[in-house]
Amino acid sequence: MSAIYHYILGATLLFGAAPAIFAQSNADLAKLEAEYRAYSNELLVVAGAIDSLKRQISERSKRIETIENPDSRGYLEQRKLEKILQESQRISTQVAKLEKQQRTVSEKLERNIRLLRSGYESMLEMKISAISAAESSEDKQEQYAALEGLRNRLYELKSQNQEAQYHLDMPALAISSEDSPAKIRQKADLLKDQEDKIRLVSLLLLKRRNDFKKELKLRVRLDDLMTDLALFDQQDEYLANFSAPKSAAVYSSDRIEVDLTSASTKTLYFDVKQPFNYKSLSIDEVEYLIKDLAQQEEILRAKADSLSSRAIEFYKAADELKKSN
Amino acid sequence: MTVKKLSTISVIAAFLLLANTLVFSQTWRVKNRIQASVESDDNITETIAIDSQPFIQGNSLRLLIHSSATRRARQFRAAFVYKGGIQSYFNNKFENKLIHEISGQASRKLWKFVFGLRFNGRLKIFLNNNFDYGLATTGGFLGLPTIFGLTIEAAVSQTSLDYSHSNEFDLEEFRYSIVFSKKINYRLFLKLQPFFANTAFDERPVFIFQEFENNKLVDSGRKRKDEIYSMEIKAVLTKPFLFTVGYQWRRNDSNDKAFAFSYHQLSCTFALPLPGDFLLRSAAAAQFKKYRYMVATLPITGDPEQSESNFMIIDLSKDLNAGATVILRLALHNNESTLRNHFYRKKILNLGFDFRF
Repeated sequence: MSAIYHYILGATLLFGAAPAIFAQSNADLAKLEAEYRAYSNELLVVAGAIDSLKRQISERSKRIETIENPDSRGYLEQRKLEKILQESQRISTQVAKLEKQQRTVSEKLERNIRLLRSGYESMLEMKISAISAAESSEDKQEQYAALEGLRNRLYELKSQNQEAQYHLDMPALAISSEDSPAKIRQKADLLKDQEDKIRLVSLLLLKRRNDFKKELKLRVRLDDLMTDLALFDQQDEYLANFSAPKSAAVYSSDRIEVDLTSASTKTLYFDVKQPFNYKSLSIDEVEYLIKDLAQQEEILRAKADSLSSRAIEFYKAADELKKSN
Repeated sequence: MTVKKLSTISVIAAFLLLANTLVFSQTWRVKNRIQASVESDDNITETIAIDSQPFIQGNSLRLLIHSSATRRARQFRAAFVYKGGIQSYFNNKFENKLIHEISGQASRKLWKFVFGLRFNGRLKIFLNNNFDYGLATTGGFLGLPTIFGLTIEAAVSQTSLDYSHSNEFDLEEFRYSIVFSKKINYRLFLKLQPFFANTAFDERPVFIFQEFENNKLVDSGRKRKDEIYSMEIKAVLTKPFLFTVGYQWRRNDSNDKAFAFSYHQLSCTFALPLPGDFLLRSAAAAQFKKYRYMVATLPITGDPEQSESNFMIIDLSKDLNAGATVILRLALHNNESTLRNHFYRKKILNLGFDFRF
């Protein structure tokens, strides 16, 4: 008995200490900050490359404009035009590839910012507790300085994340000086249409999240029942298996990425229009999924609000232009 | 196992748990549940029906602590669960017991593979008798890349069982299993799990022909060894209720004829939400066990609650608020007792509260 006693005691200590071993919150944040820098740099490089390529396309467009019209165009000019068009096509393909890369990196950056924010928010709470616990005024000053640093970083991340969200998926609509009131209203209608689509997706997400919550409750409660039985009344293998920690074999492989709307490249963890079987996920996975969904809903709502306010601005502009005419 | 040792473990476990809850709550997801209940059991000693002794009825207080901590990163998962229980009888002190169970799992994803380790330890301590035992399982698993929506996980584990009062039922088991799981549609999930296990008893003798000779069993001088083959299939159906149904076939080959058997087990669980924050839960299992040889009646295990089982549990609960639930539970058992092929019946009624935080 003594051997097994020491065995279990050792394992208790090991697993009990596991959080300490794996916590490494500061190390995680440092790693996330490194990723943040890498993604930001990559985005800058890609954006620079896209700008350069777009300039080349613009330059070729101007060259095309200088070529005479088809009726009077000669053989050499025709060849020149074809060559420029081919080059433009090649450059456009490169731009499309780079834009895809830009979207992927932007999404990674967005996720990275969310994780960083969550980490810093936790640290902020700890710092606030540390200030209350600090005995000397020097300690308090030091903690305040650290707190201020954390707050500034959080503010930067928050504003950057919002900027990224609005920037990423908004349709590139703007009022041009040549637009008539009717044209501006058309653009406003388009923005409203985008808003409606995003609000619909947000509603679908909410419905899905509520479904998850309902089933999660059933699974947790059934698991609790099995735990009670297995612990006290019946050491049946069937019950023990039920209440044991579930397999962690399912990672993000079950997540299906899809385009939300034609105007949005924001990806979700699954197709909101398709039923999603989450039985393969452990209870913890479902809990995390619910949390993720809530964040996604928040982002979508912010986007829809932004589109709505832009549409209102467009309608106002159209009205004012009509009055002035 | 002395109460002193147990107390040490309890204190350490509680301390580590609290420390983890307070210090690491920002990186670990920690959940706790405490249950306090009163229980009435009409056969606390698991007396078999043919015994001339009457059943002993007893009432007890039960306390349960269930805590879990999980950590999740992109390529890493860890889970840690502690379950502790105390049952104190009003009159039948010899049945008072303490139970500690600790389990954990950590896994890491490398490319499309998942590697992981699992551990489970259980200590059951009777405060006024010497049937204490410890059970420990360690193992590793490998999750393979998903093929056509089929999730495959291979696992190997080692289990040790150690009774404090005797070595007769102490054993060591190596188990090799593979789990195939697949979602069929958004309401149905299927799981298939075959496994093979090798069990070696430390000192359990094999008796010759299992026959009495001058009222004594003749020891063959060999130790009991079993080989277990099993196949289990489980289906999970959902919306608006949660329903699980399972079937398990198991064959136990043993060098001791008394323990060569096979069984079929049917099991099901369901949870159904009812209006007014009520929830109906149920679990049931029916086992059809067949011993291959008619031999002398022998004890199977040292702990009656480890015996094979038929049971049915009906549980009605109501959420009082987000964190508190009142529970009324009825459990009916018809289990094989510590003696081979002899069954006992019992009825347990439980009324209690769950607190979650």
